[in-house]
Amino acid sequence: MQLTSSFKLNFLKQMLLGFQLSAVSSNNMSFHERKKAIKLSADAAIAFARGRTRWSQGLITNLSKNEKNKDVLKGLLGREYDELSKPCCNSWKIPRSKKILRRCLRMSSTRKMAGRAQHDVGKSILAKTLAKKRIQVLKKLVPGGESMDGFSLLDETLDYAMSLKAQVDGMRCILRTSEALNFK
Amino acid sequence: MPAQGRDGQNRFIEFAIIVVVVVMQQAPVSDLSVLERQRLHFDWQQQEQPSRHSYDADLCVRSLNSFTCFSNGLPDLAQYSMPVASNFEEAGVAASNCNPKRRKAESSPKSKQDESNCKRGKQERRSESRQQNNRKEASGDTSSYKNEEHPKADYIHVRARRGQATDSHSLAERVRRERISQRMKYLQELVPGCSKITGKAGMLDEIINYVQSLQRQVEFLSMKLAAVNPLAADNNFSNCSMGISSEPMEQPFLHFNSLQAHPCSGLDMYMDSSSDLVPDGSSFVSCSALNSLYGVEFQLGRGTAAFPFQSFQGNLLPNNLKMEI
Repeated sequence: MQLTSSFKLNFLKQMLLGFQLSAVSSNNMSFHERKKAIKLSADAAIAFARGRTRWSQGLITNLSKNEKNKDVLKGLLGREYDELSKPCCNSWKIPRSKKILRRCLRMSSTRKMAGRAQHDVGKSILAKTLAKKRIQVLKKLVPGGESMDGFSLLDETLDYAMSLKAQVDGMRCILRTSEALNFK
Repeated sequence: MPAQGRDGQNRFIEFAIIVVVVVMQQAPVSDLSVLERQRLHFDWQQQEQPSRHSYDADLCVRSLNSFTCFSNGLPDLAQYSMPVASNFEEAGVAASNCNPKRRKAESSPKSKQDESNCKRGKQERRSESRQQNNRKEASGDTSSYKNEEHPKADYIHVRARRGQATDSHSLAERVRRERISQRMKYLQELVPGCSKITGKAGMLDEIINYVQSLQRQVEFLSMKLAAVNPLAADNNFSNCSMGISSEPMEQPFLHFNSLQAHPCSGLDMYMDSSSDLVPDGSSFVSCSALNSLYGVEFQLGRGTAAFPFQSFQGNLLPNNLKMEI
């Protein structure tokens, strides 16, 4: 993904439209509501600006789980809403028993490491379980990550991290300019 | 009243322009690390498929994705290296175990092209083997996935490297590991301060920390934006969206003088360079002083973000401080 200026411009445009739609600047919203509305606009904007990736679809799906947000999202995204809110894969989680998993892991690892020395087995199993734990954490972080396998998860993380950075920079920019203008 | 109205109008135009300009100027700074990576992708793509002329970033990611549908099952056949657009009959011949040793001897020392060949070859290999052998796992989607990505290239084989096992399982393992390590490299470039860390688990830790910190920053910034004075916000946000959608600006720069006395970092430099600006949208980008400005602003942005954290009375997020500095 390239962080082009058009991408950022799109993001900013969408975010500001979202602010308008959710009537952020009206006085009758509480602080928390306003903050939630702002965050909603920002997330929807970044997902929209990015286009169709797995994480953006997952993000929109997560956001539209809350009924109140749906109107704002629909207004903001328009046609894209239907495309983006389709879950790309099954989002069901396989219920896993730890015992079975451990047994499977041991069996598959011993099969793979038939030729290697015995003491290596323990180390590599340990490394793998460590990595697996972290991959699980990463799956929870990246929106829509539960239904991805290891490789695509890494790709999506890369993409998601870049767009998060763009989101943070854009929001910071707007904050700074609005503060600057408020000083007048 | 008319003076105030004009003032308000000035303000929103300024705001809109500033936002637009800042956005345009952000591109050069943040593209640097991404550009290298994209160039790598691009070169690799060009090597593999000279017929593919259009460089599409989405295509890059998609092609990466297509490599990810790689499961454990593999046929029990040795792998060979072949030119990119070889046809199926050749591949069929090569599929037999006729010259494993000769091919191995021919294999050159490991190079990037070999690696990319390996990866592509692995994928192509799977499509062929899929048609021939029974596979261990359901990977039919990979062949169809791949077919839509590479309609022109029929077949690439993996080159078995000298002195390494030609066992299909170990080859598959190796290719998989190489792919993971390549992605880890890209992630290393992205996540700041990760070049020293080796090992998957450590890198994953850093990535997790980075993503978490970015998410917390978004939360925090949305809180700060919510704390902005609502009256000013009303003007700014609603008018800014109008301003952005109506590019290029027609009444630009007469109002910049009012921004002279700003305490905001970098705006003074911005103001000095405003005389160069011409009422044309494209020339925003051409002003070199602005480039340096936003370079400075980014560095400042890294450092000054620590201060708002302390001034906020609500949730203090100490982890963010670590990540910022």
